[in-house]
Amino acid sequence: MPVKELADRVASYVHLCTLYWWLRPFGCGVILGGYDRDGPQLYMIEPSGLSYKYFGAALGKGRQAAKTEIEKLKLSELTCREGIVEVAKIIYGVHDEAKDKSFELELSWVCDESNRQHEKVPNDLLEQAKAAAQAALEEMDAD
Amino acid sequence: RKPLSPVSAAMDAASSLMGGPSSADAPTDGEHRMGTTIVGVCYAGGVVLAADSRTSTGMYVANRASDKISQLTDNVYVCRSGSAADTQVISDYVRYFLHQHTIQLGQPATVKVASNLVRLLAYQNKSMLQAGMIVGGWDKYEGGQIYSVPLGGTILRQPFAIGGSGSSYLYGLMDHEWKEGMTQEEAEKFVVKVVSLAIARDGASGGVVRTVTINEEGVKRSFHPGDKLPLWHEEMEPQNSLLDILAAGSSDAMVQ
Repeated sequence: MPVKELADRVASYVHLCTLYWWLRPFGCGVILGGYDRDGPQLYMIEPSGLSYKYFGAALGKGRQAAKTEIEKLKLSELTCREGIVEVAKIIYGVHDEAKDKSFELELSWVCDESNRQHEKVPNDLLEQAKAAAQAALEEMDAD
Repeated sequence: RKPLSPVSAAMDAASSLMGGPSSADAPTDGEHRMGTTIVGVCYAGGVVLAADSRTSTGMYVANRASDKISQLTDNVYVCRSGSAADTQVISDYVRYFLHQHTIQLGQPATVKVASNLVRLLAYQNKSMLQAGMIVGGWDKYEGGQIYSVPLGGTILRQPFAIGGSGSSYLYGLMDHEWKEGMTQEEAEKFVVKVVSLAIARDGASGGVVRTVTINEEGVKRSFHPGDKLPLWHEEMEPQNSLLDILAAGSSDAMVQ
């Protein structure tokens, strides 16, 4: 199943739920990452059924701030391992200590290193990313 | 076999009313069959499909210059053998499905998808169809590919494939002469040689050899008339009329 096709099908189904008065729309968006013969691809499906292919995407309360951070990154030159750290920094960065509940970071990826399978990021890399993100936060706070 | 073409059905009705000739006396009433020889080979960079051009109804050659290689998409063609009607209908359906698939996919269909559609129709309607087909083409993912879809509706990817009644005579030749990674020129010459042997030996194959070469650059259709084909043992040189030879006064006229 090509990633594009999967995204189209999910989007069609989400859109369907916006067409009839007796069907409730989905109250969530989906960020879909996959690896097929056309390479790695990222799609985002919103509750309206709108679906696009993206190089960077964010959903949720802090998505505006997250998108701004993503736009600062040079995605074409970023490796997966670097990406993990950047993503962790963004998650920690947009988290508002005062207003938001505490959270647990979970990371998964699809890349050559994971044999093109979707897997949880290995623990050691996850811890490294968390540490780097927290360090970056402290640096910002120190300013 | 029960004749199915409209002409023969009418004739049948007429003859049964008048107590006319039975089908044994009129071997021109058969369903249109393509006795056929069809061949598909992969070469370094693409595929070459080839076929003879004889369509017979019983003993009569209904069409001596038929085109048995049909287009499914810009980059995928199919060789047809068996019932002319069955294979035409299958090709038409697959062309229609692939057209829609290409629109939805946003890029050319792959050879695998085209072959699979042919296979699904052939398998799911196996009790009603008599169609042996060879699908060949080029796509950017796997390059040149040949898929064989014989009578029962199996699908098999092969470096080369043969089909039709004339193919019986080609198994030995292919096993002996086939080479992996031929050039385009070698491949085209090879298929013409191979089909011309089948034409020589198989009564249900004849006419001209049509070839279709498909590669990254596109598609090239070619035509090899009967008198330009390589000759095999005991075959005579093609000649227009033996009377011409006599008129020329050659004393060797009757010696072969």
